[in-house]
Amino acid sequence: MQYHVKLESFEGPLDLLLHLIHRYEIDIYDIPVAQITEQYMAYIHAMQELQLDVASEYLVMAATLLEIKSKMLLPKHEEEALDDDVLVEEEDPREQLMQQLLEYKKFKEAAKELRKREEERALLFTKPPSDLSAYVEAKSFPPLDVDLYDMLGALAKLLRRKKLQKPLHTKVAR
Amino acid sequence: MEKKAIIEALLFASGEEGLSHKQIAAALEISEEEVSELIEQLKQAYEQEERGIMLVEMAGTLQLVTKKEYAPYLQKLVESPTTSSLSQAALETLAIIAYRQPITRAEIEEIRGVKSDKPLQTLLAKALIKEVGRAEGTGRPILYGTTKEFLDYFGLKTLDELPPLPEFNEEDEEKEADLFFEKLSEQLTVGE
Repeated sequence: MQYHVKLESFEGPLDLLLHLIHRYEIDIYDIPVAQITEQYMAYIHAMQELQLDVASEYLVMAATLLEIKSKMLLPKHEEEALDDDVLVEEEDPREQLMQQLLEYKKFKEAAKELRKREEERALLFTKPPSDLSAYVEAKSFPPLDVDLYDMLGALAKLLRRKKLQKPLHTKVAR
Repeated sequence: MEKKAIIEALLFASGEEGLSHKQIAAALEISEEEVSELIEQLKQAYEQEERGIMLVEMAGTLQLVTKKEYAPYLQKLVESPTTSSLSQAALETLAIIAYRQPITRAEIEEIRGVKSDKPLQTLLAKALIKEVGRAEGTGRPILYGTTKEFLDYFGLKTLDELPPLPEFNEEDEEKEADLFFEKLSEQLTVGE
């Protein structure tokens, strides 16, 4: 089988399923489990063939899909149907998976929006604070009210700084 | 009348750390309302085309930054490689925390469908998230939330500025489709 993307570029089984759903133009509200399970398994097998790392979560999802598929294929219990008084509504075994996919998709979209903002923000340059230590009067300060996160924050800001070229100085050696 | 100039000087010296309205008001010994007014005027002055910097409000502080249209020129001066952007895993995790905070690791993993220790570690080290307490219940798991650095990193004033979470539901999509076809038929009849 031919694939465009390697497994590493997916963020887990939900991401892979969304990719398959998108690629085969499947209705997310009415997932043909047999079909998608087949594609999913083919994908996993191809990856194993190539000896690529398959994260454990992918195998759990494979088992889940197979379970749903068999549940949908096997006949339902007759006893429940005989009970007229209580209308037992047979829950769609796909329901939970569908909800999970929709929820994940939501945040995948939100992450895309954040990526856009990340890129836009990176276009704005600032400068490091000026060294104002010369203006500090030599007297003892009360201890600053800071915590671990302030330290991490200060370091993160420092690491984000871009270094610009310094003015060039040319010396002529005699 | 040189108050605007003083504010400009203060903001220049504070650089990427920025200053809050309150700090500026304290330094100039004026009211915060007056600061807001002066800031507005300064902002407008920077809007002019011949200015290379502008005044923005991010994460509760005012900062002087270069305008984005001049980024290509600044990039020519960049010597050390620009800091790498967040990985997809970290970004997804961060999006979940941003919208659902306070949230536990287990809840994040349930939405993503994969283990999320590594992206959480990355985000903590970059100070984009922090522990904001512990959930009641067995295990007392850690709750995560976003930080001020998060707002700065994405150029947001407050969390309220986050774009609304996309909502998908069948009805909406159907409605949208109906609307589309309605419009289409309208246009077709007009065309005739």
